[in-house]
Amino acid sequence: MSHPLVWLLWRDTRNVTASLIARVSQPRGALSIAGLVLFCAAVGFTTRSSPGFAGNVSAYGAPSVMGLVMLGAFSPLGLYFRPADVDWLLTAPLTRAELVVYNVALRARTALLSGLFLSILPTWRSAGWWQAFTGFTLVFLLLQVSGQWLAVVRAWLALHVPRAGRWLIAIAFAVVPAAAVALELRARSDLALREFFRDSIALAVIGAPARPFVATAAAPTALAWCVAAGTSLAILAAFVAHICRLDVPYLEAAIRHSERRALRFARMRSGGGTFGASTSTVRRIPMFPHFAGAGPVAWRQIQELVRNPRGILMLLAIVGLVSAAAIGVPFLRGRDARLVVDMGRTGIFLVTFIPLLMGENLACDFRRDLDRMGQLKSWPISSLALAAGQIAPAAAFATAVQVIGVLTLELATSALSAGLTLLVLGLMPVVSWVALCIDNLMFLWMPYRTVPEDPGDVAFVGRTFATALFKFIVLVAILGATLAIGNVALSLSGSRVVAVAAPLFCLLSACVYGTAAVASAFRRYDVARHAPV
Amino acid sequence: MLVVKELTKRFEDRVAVDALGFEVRAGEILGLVGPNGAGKTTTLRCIAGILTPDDGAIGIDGVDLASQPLAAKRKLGLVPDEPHLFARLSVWEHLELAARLYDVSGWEQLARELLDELELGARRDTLAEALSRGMRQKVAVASALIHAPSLLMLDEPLVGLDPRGIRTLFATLRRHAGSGGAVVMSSHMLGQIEPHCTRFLILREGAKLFHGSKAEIAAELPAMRHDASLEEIFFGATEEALR
Repeated sequence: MSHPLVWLLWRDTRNVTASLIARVSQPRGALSIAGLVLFCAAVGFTTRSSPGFAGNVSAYGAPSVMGLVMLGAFSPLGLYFRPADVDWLLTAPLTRAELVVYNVALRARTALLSGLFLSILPTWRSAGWWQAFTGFTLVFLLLQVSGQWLAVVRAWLALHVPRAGRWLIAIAFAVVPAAAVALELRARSDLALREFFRDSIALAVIGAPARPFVATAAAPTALAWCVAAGTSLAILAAFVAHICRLDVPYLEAAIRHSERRALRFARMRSGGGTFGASTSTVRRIPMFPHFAGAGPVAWRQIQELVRNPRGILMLLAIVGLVSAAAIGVPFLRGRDARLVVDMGRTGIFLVTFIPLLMGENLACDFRRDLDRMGQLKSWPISSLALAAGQIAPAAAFATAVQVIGVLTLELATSALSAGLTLLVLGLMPVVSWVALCIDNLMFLWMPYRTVPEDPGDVAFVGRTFATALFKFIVLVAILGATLAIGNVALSLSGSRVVAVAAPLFCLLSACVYGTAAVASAFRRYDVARHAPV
Repeated sequence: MLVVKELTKRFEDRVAVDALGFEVRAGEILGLVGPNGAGKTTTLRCIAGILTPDDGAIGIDGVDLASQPLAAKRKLGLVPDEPHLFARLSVWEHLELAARLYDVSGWEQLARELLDELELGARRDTLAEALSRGMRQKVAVASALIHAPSLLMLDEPLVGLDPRGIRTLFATLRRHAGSGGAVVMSSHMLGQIEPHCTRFLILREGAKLFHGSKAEIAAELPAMRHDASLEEIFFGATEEALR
């Protein structure tokens, strides 16, 4: 890398660090760090007796990482440079290798922070903190660099291979590994799932490129760590070298991709959807009743979401994949009744939580209106009605996705009893509402952009991890409290109706108080002081 | 200083720049004008070496861009339409970055002069994220001038500048041209650029409509007064092309 780029990376990192330290020294930042430390300590304490992080990594790590790498093939064509990089570096007398290495170094900075966050959690049970930290960092770097490599390879294919050939390659890339795993799953139905992951030939082949990376995280000795980390770095270097060598008009592709992405970020920041611009003005839903102003507010959010439903479709696709796996794996393994129920329950748990944890896809609430807060405040609507109108659409969509997933899984696996299914379905809208209240409260207390500034935006990575962890722990606490209240009600009254009504009443109260808290946070939100840059 | 021959750039089926040819001499300020989608930004980006032309040749101060891209880029300064700065670098650090990128030694004195000239002296240690758009524009201009490029190109440089900023910018551009450099500037603000540009290049749908001084272009247009304003000439030229 040439001297100016080393200088730029160093200055940028130094200034970002100074800015982060300044923020952490403020009360809100200190509170966030304290919360994160407490959470990590709680996770460490509660999982101190869990066996073998290293064993789990060995069994599931490599195929899972390669699955994520393969998902990177769907990334757009071109390297991503920040808008400032495009303006300053792409016009400067710098070689392609210098630019590519700089880009990777920028991503390594993000990977380091991501690795640091993840390594805090399994420290208590892994082979060692250093291994976990370096292993996770290398895995994140692999995901970033392989995504760039795949983008450049796709650009090369677009130039040199006709469309039909490209389709064949894409189908082979996606179908052949999936078919191999499915066939082996069926053939080796005697193995438990964990054993299958450990012994499968297809998964071993698919996961081979990622094996050194996950082996770094679980290396039992210093020598093993050196070998694994060294091999991982060599693989990364090979990717970078190939990116530099492939004969594609990389600058043009990078600019087009970077500009599209920058436009998307700008659109998201100003209230657009996460998944591209609205494409249709045809789908029009009728205006809702006024409801003290909450109706039109909710109508606006739903109308925009209906015209750009890609976020929901993405969520549905993920729920569909989880459901297909939960239904398909037992089917491939001879429909063992126990496995059907176990997989069904796991699937129901996941499809219940996924829409709540992936709330950014449904961010048709205050998070979508970050740059319109002033406008919202100018509307002649009470803050409570506004909060209700903002939360209702996202809660409705989250519930719809959950209901579709749970019903599908329940019909296919009969994993829950009829009564429990009804209870789960009945509680879903309330739980979703509470979860979205938490999302919006956190957002209004500590406003953040829901998109990163650039691949080196370390502050964004920190926020993402911290908010996801916080939300997860609060949701688990609420669900735990709900179950406890139900149990106490059942033991005191002996009536199932009371056992359901008591926690439901508590959750409904949480909805009302949560909405009032969101309204209060919105009233306190100062557009002049709180809007993030 | 700048020679463009038969420059053609396509985006899939759309021709963005169509066999465009023109020259810019030392000391000249060329106004690049045309309606939206005329190909102004694409032309500037091809000259800057960040888009690869499908056809044609570009020479900057005698250096062929296609065969010697790094040498050609050293002779060029570009101020893009939206001044993207590194949010957490200060004004002074941006100038230092530009000096390092173009391997300029002893840049500090020129940097101080440019900051004073563009009224940024008091902001030299301010981070870019705290600057207004106009100030960011001025930082981009100062950074593009730090290596004394033979050719300075500015894409819509007047957007976001206050009247005083516009006056200062034109003084800087005139000084650059007066010292033997060439300037190419695209803008929709015809009234603002008219008194400062020595020649104009009017584009429409990627093709050259007219190229020359205001009087030369007016003479080519039927029924156009010789003292017509640039705005009248622009509408005359583009509507003539529609007919």
